[in-house]
Amino acid sequence: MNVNLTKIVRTLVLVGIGVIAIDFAVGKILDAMIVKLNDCGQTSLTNYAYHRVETPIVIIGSSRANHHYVPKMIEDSVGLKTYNAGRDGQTLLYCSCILNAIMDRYTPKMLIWEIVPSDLFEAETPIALKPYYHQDSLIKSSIDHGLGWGCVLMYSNLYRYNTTASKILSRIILSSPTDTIKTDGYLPLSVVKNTRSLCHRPDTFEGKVDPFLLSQIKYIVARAKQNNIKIVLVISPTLKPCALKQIELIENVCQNIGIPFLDNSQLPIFVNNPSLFTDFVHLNHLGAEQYTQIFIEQLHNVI
Amino acid sequence: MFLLTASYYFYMNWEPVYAVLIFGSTAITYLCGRLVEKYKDNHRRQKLFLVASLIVNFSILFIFKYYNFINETIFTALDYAGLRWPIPNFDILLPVGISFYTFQAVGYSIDVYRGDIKVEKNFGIYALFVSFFPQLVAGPIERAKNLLAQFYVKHTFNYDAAVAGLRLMLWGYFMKLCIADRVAMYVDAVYNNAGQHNGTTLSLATLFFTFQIYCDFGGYSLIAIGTAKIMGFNLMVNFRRPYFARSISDFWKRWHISLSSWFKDYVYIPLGGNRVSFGRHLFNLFLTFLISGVWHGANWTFVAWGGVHGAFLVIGVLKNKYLPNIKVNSIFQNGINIIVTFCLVAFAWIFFRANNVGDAFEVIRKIFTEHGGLFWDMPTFTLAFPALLLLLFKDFKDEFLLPVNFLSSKYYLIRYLSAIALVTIIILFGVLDGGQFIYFQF
Repeated sequence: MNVNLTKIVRTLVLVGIGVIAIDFAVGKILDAMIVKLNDCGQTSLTNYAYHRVETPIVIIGSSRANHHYVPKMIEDSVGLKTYNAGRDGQTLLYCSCILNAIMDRYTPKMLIWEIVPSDLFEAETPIALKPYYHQDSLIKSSIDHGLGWGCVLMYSNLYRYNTTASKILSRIILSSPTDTIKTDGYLPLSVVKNTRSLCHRPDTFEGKVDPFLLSQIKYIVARAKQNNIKIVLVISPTLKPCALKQIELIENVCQNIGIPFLDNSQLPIFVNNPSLFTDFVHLNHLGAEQYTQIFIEQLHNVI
Repeated sequence: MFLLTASYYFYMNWEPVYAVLIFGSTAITYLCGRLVEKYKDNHRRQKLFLVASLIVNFSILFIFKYYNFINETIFTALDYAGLRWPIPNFDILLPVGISFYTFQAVGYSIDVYRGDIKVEKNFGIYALFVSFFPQLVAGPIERAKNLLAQFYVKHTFNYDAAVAGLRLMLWGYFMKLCIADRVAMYVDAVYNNAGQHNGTTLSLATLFFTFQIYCDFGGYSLIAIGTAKIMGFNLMVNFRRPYFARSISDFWKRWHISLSSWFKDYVYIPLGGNRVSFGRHLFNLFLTFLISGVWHGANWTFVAWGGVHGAFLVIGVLKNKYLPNIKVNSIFQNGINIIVTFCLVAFAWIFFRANNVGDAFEVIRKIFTEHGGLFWDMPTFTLAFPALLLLLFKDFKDEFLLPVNFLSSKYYLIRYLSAIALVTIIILFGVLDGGQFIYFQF
């Protein structure tokens, strides 16, 4: 072999070995650190939902779940401890993976699954769950589905913790002893006086239910039914009406798999009432309290 | 042949049909070049074939890049005058890299016409010059004098060149993935909702964009130059620590050097450069930068950006002519000049980034009048600021020739550890699902 080529191969191999060694060490360190997160950051909340939640009622969903359901009110009314595991920017695959992990650990009484109307139509890779890729087969299949051949990258710990690493480090360095996870997970939103953020984005939906997402829902529902866990799909209020076609499709899915579906998106007291919203999709604390009260009444009927 | 096939394959990955365009441009420029040489004793004919080459190349550019913009501008102007004369827009995608390869082809034609280079007789070699894949989609805009000759040299694998190329690529990826795409999250969130943010936040977003555009395009250029270097080709340096420039004219000797030198050689000097009356010199300067703005994109924001730089340069020339040069401590003076130039360049970037000219003026108004609490994005800040510090440190040490080296240290261990650390940082903290390079749209 050409001397130059031998030298470059040797150089690349040496750098490669160094990177692999760091990859291994960083993976071990971050795997140990992530389970110790104990603050209110999004990474910590995911970790808490994945590893530690043990309440009889669990609410799951996106930021709309997180900001729309007040667990304390549900707890006072139903008499069962409730945790809100909603997380900003997450969609259906994230929720199904968290619910699956919860059902692996214990048997809750009820799962409240807040769904965004667009959730069933486009699979979004749950990248927030990359750190748990090797621990959970459902997370693995969900991420593999999104990444395609790119899933080979998941065997690199550095890639698995890409971006999350900085959050873990900053949380551990910056968190104060008082900054511990709230027991109910709910994060209230304040009233925003700037109504410009309440503008509505037109909904131009045309599509079909994604078969992979449908199979995930079916799997979670089947597991819940098998363990006598009540499960309910809900759409909470939006400032402007959603695309009716999407809601119809979700309703059909729920009928087919035999679970209750509560479409609260068009509740009259919320539609076109900006005083109850922070922006056009998120209720403020006042709106959340009013909505939770209505939801509790519906919940008694479902139970 | 292998490189030519690879280059066309690379280009066809975007939109296969656009390979026809680049081939058409190549064939016509090649033919005109041959004819210009054939009629070297007949100046009129030579000029005719040069003009033909320029018309064909600029027509392609005009149709694909500027037609809709000009159509809409004329429509709006006529509409103001009470006339409605709608002509449909073209519903076409802008071919990637069209501005770059067109300018490269045009530069070749002019060089042949001027007799600065000999015409390239081998069509395959000429086609490779236009389509050479490392620099095809976003430069550097190469000169025939530099690149064509390299295609005739038999390249054997060279360890030192390959390592140098890999180092450039590694730093380029760091700039793109750890800085440009990271700060882009903040810049996009703020600039796409400029009306919702105060001047403090817009100032930080502008500062971030100043580094985003440098790291995005500078990073791409390093990757392109590094790729070519591994194969044994030397492309021209495109960025030379632009934010350490002492004046706006110095900035343009450091920023997108291949384009600014192209404009100098093929627009500014043919217009007369500075060997004309003082007023005409100022006009030439301003016009060159206005055209440079138009080159960047079919939008008034780019025209305004070019105009602002043109105005800065005109003011610089006037200052040098009429204001006395105050002698102060050179370190202090250099420091002040660097800071002032940086602020002026950052100001001009507002026009480049804003979604429209109205937004740009709104951003400027808020920056100077509306201050308040900062829009806080801790995850972005945590990752962006250390990376920016690393970039500034590297540029600072290169600018002032500090004897500190990492990737090119004379010590074996430091070299390897630096490379390993940089790869680790890129994978662990880089934005690996980020967007396309900004300059691909030009």
